[in-house]
Amino acid sequence: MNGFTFDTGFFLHEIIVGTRFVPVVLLLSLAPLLAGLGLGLLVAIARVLKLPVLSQLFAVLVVVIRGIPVVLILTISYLFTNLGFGPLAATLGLNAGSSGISYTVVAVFGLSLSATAYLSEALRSALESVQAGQFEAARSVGLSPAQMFRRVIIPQALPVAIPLIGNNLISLIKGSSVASVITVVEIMGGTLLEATRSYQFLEAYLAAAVVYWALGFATERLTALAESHVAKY
Amino acid sequence: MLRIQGLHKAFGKHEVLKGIDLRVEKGEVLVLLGPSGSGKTTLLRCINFLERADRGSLALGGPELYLRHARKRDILAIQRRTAMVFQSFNLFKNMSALENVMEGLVTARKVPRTEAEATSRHFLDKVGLLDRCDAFPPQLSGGQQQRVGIARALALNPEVILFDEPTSALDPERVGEVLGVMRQLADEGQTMIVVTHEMAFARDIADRVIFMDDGLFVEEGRPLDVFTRPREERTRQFLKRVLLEEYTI
Repeated sequence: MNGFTFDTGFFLHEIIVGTRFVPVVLLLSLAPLLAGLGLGLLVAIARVLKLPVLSQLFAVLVVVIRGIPVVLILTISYLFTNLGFGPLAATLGLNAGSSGISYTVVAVFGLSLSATAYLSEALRSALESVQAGQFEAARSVGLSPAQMFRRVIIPQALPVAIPLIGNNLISLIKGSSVASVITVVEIMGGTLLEATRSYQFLEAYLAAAVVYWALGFATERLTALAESHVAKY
Repeated sequence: MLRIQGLHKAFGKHEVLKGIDLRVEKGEVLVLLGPSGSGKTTLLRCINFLERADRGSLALGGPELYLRHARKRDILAIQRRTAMVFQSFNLFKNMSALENVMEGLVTARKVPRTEAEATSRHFLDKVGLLDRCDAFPPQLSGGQQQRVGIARALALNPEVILFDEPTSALDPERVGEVLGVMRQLADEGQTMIVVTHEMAFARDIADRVIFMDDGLFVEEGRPLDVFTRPREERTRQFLKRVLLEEYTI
């Protein structure tokens, strides 16, 4: 043994440090969640309706985006903003540089891209859980496609979708830690920054784990609550 | 009133309808008979544009429409003149019986809610389910669900109601209540095209029966003539099989 000691005081201090970065993590996970729900729903509907061209295009995009690790999506976005944005803006005749762009925005963009791909698949499976006869009945009483989804299909898909959305949110919360690779300081980065001064990494990582776990637990409870408030069909 | 000419429909390489010509007069009750896979259901679905026919034309209280090139507006006009009653009822599961009947009126046709509700209550009463108007589909028996399905079709005031095996998914003791409602509609002069295996219904209610096989009309005529003196061998074989089943119970 080399005289290992666990510094409880530092551990508790790190939990407080980590908690200070909860708003950043919420931004990095809730913004992609909302973007993913909005865009993912459009993608899912296009694919459920088998719209020509769009459904095939979206299917390919989803496969491509899901096939790339999120950390790569973020670093590519980061490098593109750093290296590619200035010249691109110049060729478009815009007077804009990459220095004005916050890396938090880049992280939100990259995470949203990934969230859209995953959520579109979750929402598609929820929409496809509704029986084909419901679609046909909606059309037979004269509902337009938009009315059909709003009035009949989405209400019936919701109880299936909520647990899937909750799962995705937990993944997004944990996945937001990769934003640290493009210098966005969140729970991981924030607690580690303090630890490098005293080399007390175990305390720092454990504290970060506790904060993430608390967020995940809260998400699970909220999902369960939402589930119990939605009628099942 | 309804006229179809040269209707063809294929799914991939499999040709399901091979050139259907059909006229239906106002107030007529037409029963389509035939073995499964003969194209009866597909014909109904083409009339309601749940399937798009490959060739042929259709006229229903308006100009003749070439099915292949029909535009959205024309399709909508035809759909508004028809209503469908499904084999598996297909009531909206997230809505009560009353809301099911109101949905097409309120959401699609923008009828004011109070007016739509009065209309819907009237038709639920007609099918004998006014007292169940707040029930959701799972709380209703199959026969009750199908009667709500008929009320939902009636509320749209269609010129033709298309019945796609309306009693096939029902318990035998529930068939009578649905057929009773259909009999009443027929008496009131509602134009109906009915795909069914209920031979007694066809014999008693239909003005005309058409026997279909392999995507074509084989034989048509008044039910008594077709049932007792079929001209075609295929019709005879089919009737022998179906009637035997019916009477050996």
